[in-house]
Amino acid sequence: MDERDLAIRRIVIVGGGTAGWMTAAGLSAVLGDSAASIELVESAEIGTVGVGEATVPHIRNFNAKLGLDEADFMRKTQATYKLGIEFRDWGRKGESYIHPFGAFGQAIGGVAFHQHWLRARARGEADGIEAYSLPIVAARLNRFAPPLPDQRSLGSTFSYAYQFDAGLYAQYLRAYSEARGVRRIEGKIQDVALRGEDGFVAAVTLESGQRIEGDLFIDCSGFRGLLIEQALKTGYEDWTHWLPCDRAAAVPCDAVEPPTPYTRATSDEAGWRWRIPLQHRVGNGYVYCSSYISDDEAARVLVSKLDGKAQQDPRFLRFMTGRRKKQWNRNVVAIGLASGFLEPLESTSIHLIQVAITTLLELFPETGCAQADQDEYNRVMDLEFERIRDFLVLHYHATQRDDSAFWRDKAAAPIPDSLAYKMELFRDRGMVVKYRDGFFLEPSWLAVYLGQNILPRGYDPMADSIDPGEAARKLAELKAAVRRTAESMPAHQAFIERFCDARGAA
Amino acid sequence: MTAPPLGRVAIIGGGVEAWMTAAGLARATGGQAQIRVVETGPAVTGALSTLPSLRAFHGLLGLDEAALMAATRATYKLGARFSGWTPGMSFCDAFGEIGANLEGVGFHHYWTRVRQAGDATPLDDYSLAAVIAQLGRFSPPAPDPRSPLSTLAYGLHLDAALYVGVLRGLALRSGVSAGAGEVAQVIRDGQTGNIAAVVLADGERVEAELFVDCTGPAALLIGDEPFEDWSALLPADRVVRITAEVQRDAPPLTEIEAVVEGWRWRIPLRDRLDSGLTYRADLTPDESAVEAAQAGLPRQDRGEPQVLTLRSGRRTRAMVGNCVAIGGAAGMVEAMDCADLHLIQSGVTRLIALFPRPGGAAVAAQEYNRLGAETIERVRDRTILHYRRAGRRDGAIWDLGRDAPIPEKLAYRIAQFESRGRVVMYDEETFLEPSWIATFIGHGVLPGRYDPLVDRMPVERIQATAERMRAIFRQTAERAPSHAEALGVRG
Repeated sequence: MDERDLAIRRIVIVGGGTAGWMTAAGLSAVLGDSAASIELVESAEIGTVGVGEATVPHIRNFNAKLGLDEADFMRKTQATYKLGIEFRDWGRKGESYIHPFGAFGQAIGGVAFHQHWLRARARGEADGIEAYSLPIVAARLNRFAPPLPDQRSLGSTFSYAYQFDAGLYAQYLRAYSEARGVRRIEGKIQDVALRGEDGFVAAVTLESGQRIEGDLFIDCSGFRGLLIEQALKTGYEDWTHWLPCDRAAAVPCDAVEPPTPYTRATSDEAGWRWRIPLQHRVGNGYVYCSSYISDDEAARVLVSKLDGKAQQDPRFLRFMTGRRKKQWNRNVVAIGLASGFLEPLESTSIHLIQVAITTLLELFPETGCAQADQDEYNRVMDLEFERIRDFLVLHYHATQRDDSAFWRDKAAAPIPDSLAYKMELFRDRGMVVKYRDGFFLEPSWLAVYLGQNILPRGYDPMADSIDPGEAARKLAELKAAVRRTAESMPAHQAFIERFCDARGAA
Repeated sequence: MTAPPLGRVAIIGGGVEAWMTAAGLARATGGQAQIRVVETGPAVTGALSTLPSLRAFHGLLGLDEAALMAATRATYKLGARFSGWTPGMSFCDAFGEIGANLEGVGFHHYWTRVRQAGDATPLDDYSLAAVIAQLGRFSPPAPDPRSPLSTLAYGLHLDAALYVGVLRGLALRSGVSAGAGEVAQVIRDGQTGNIAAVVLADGERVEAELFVDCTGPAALLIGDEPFEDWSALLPADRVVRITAEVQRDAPPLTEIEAVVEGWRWRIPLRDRLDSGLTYRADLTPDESAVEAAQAGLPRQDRGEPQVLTLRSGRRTRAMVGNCVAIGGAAGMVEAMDCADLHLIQSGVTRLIALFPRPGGAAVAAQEYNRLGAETIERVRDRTILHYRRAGRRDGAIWDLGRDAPIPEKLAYRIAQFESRGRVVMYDEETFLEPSWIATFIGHGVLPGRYDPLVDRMPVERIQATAERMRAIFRQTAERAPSHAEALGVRG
């Protein structure tokens, strides 16, 4: 046996799109030199979903692992920068807050900044929490500059992500993957053959009659889960009792103003609308619950709220929130929508794809796909799904909107016990529960709690170990420094034009 | 006198936990709480072997390490060496990294690969801390991230009574008051069940908003709270402590040696060796235990052997109403992984983070207890692992330990490592990933498979890389000063 050989010889990715090509790129970057072949089967006739146009900062790690050139990648995907997400009308109608990619201030005397803020606020000595967050203030001013490397500087206290055209990102990664030996096979899958002895997928057969055998199959076929569900009958855990939206309408429109360095999620009568500004257009959508609004009405509302002219008729998507009972079953690993669905309220779709790829590489199997590896992969992914789910449910639960049946029902609906516990601890003393795993950290929870008017009854008593006058002075200094630093940043549009302007890109 | 904003705190007990709590709270509350220690219980004796995490606590307290070490006859600790657990075997659970990741894959997978190809080099050879320590040398971590020395971390060996003295002095200078007293009665509020006052033997009534039970296993305040007994999981129930002469060139290691009757520890201080045996009373009479503890050690006339009882388990709730237990009153496990101080430290930092708020909801105590339970259970699981994998067959205590029921999370952790060297980490871990790897492999829990991505590299290249790493570690270690020299510099 060749020393450079892996036990897995043939990896077959079923489905292109964002999940398929991210997987192909991620695997080829790591396995490129080995003898394992990677094939990706997709059909130009099957549309991809590609609504996940907003990302979270971890995408930068993924791109860095691939060795992508940031300016080139941004030009080719019409990307803009993203400092956070603006939530409009979530607590009450007319309100707005930003969930930033960065911390709110720094600890004072070992006590979290927000605890000092809570005390100062109770004393009438603090401004809104947003004034103390550099990424929020910069976002509100439509400015952007990358974080500074010096950890001691205020300019290092945030991170950023991108807003890009997911279709173009998939194309970009396709070129990357093909250059590293991934073979793309055009065709629709007609049949999936299982091995008699262990029920593993042996091969897929295309309409053309071509049979593609593999040792490991990655199911990136989207909601229908061609392999994981249709062939292996893995089962699906339905979470619609917690997150009832089941449809989305999506439409791009012309931009009428420079792109904002943030995504916007505006709550609406039967769900919420996204707005994602790219360099060349604005992506829009309405995620809604079909028991409260018809498709036609949802499309009408969506189009009526666009910035500029719609570039096409709205497209409709149907989904069921939840997750596949096993993300990895036998020799099939489901990635992307085939693995489960969580609405893109916090831009986690691409993140979940990324975590799946990283975890698969950590537990990369041999031909037998050891049960222990499957168990561990599923444990890790289950945690990831559940923790994101709780964070999403919080947005719906912590609302004071009562102007439509949807919101009245949502506020009254039960929530997972794990979330109830977290909320109780925050309500009591502003504490955010910390875990080893799970994507959303303290600043994210704080932003949503405070942004949706969940104010703690008290604060960490240790805040009282610091003189209130001194704390107030530090708050005032930070606020001034945040303002000054944000104002010194270039306009978002100007930074894009200088660094990664897509106009004229090949 | 007006009430302090953070109220009155009464700490009952006089051991390490009482003074770590007093010093930690005094620092964190910045004079806004009135803290009093009622010193009770037996005098502190023996030595402490700590994990690197304690240094963060010292940082919080603003303690100068050099002064602390001089005052406590301290030596450095780069890890613990386990011997005798299985006949002929020995390994180090050393602080710092093991080898270096190659192409994103953990080094122990490459080690497994070459081992399966017939290379018998022990894992210790790839742990820089283990190599330095076993040469009797020491180095602090280097600030330059390119230096292999930057991967090091260290703990300390401290004289317990002197350490208490340092913490006590610091606490008193920070405004903590102290005085001896015997607890005569605990008076509870009839409605809330909270402690209203502790009445001392001399009739004094100590009132406070918060009571901290640092009375050890006696649990004078929290004792009514149920205790989850782990004696079915961990067989030892008694400890005998002795002192002996310390070798001048003692390596910066805690020795944990299994013998017929149980396991012995050896903690080197500058002026003596603290040692002892942890055993099971119904299998080994105390006199035999003393003999076993002293076997082979140079005698030193410094007091009689001291016999203590040990009860493994945890208080179901360490925080109840206005009472919180820290240290032995909250829970205990056999100390072979030297986590006892870490458990105290995590109790204190947790208390600071969840300090009771007047009128606060029960959820804060619930969170305190959840985190405390996770922490001590993960430590307990490590201790169970040692027994479970001990290969000795010459003492009944080893059969009891090996056949004890195994907690689910530990079983999963072992199964994952045994399968392909995956290190599962849960919330509130005391031990870092390299420590789990060293302990698994040291005890012969060898991965059946390695990460297949290892096979991207030809085995000859892996062997050459590993060999180079080993040589660099060896050279680096040989250039480090001896442990005694390093102590001279700091002392």
